[in-house]
Amino acid sequence: MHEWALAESIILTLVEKAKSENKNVIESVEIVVGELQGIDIEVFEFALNELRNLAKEENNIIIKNFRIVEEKASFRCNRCGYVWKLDDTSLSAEARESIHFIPEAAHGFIQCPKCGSHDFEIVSGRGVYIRL
Amino acid sequence: MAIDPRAAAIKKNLEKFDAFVAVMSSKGGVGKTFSVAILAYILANNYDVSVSLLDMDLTNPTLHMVLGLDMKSVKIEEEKGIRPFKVSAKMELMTMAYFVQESSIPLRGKEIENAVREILSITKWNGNILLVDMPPGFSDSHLEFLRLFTLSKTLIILVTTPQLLALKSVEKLAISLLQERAPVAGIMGNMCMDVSEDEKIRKTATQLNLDYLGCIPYIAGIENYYGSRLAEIIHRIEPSIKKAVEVIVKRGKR
Repeated sequence: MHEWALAESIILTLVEKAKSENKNVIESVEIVVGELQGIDIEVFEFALNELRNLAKEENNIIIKNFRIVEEKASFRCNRCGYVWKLDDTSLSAEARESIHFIPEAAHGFIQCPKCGSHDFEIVSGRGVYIRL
Repeated sequence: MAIDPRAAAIKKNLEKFDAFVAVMSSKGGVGKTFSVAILAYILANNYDVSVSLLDMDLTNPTLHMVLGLDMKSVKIEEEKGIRPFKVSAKMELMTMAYFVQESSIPLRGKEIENAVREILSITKWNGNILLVDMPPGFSDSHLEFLRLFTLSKTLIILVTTPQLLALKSVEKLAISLLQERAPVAGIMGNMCMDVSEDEKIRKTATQLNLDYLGCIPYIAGIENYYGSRLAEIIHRIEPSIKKAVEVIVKRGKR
């Protein structure tokens, strides 16, 4: 369950942040989940809740509310400048799984639809981050 | 404000290690990957050390090939993160090949940084010593390694062949690393044909005030020994690089 590791990194970061600011309550957190990583939101949310309870038990840090926001993935070709979306690309199940673990693996499986280059930038929807 | 949550996970995942050993050389083709495989083999089999391996060459990983693994048939194991591939009872490997098999993935600087961070934040290691196979050059992967890893637990082993260009390259890299007080353990050679070649590398190490860690002798048709046949050549190599192995074992016991 790779979603667990991602949730763990979120909670660890929030606990560290609260400690460094001498707080024990975090009111509200927005967690942005990039489309490219193809996370199972239900599993991710379950892990976040479990780990949030642990943070309260072990560190007395209360994370009151979190909101998961999904961000669509888009790409820009570094060679010809073309911009496209993940929906414009067809990927095998194996490729999707690889990208799910390491979004940069996309460079092995996706090419610019216009010029065929592997040299593109992931403009949005790459991975998971916290927005405060 | 956007916060990257991976730093906290990386710290937690790496804190269990007793030591990190990075094998580096700015020149390609000197045998970094082979040196890593040999060191790992000796540590795991002859010193009973649990070795974790990380192939930091993200765009062209090859350590799995020297270890004789076919990543196409490997299924990624998940358990609250990713389990590295179990090579043997005392050896495990994390490599980009785990995810992309034999595909080539061209990456720019920022993407290398992202991929390194992603791998380190989701990998749940089991070993005591992490051996890192660095790509050639002195660029994004190396800089990210120097930034993310606890340097007080780190040893950097520089690898070179006795050839002039390799010696000059390792010299430049050593000077740069020493200027920033990076923990360079010494210089190890590869493909030494005779004592005179051994001496060339020793001389370079001495001039830099670094320990000479020995030289892996030249072995004809080395590709034929990749994988399980590494066992057949270990006895020819181990006495020559005893010092390199001992430096690692000593650091691991601290």
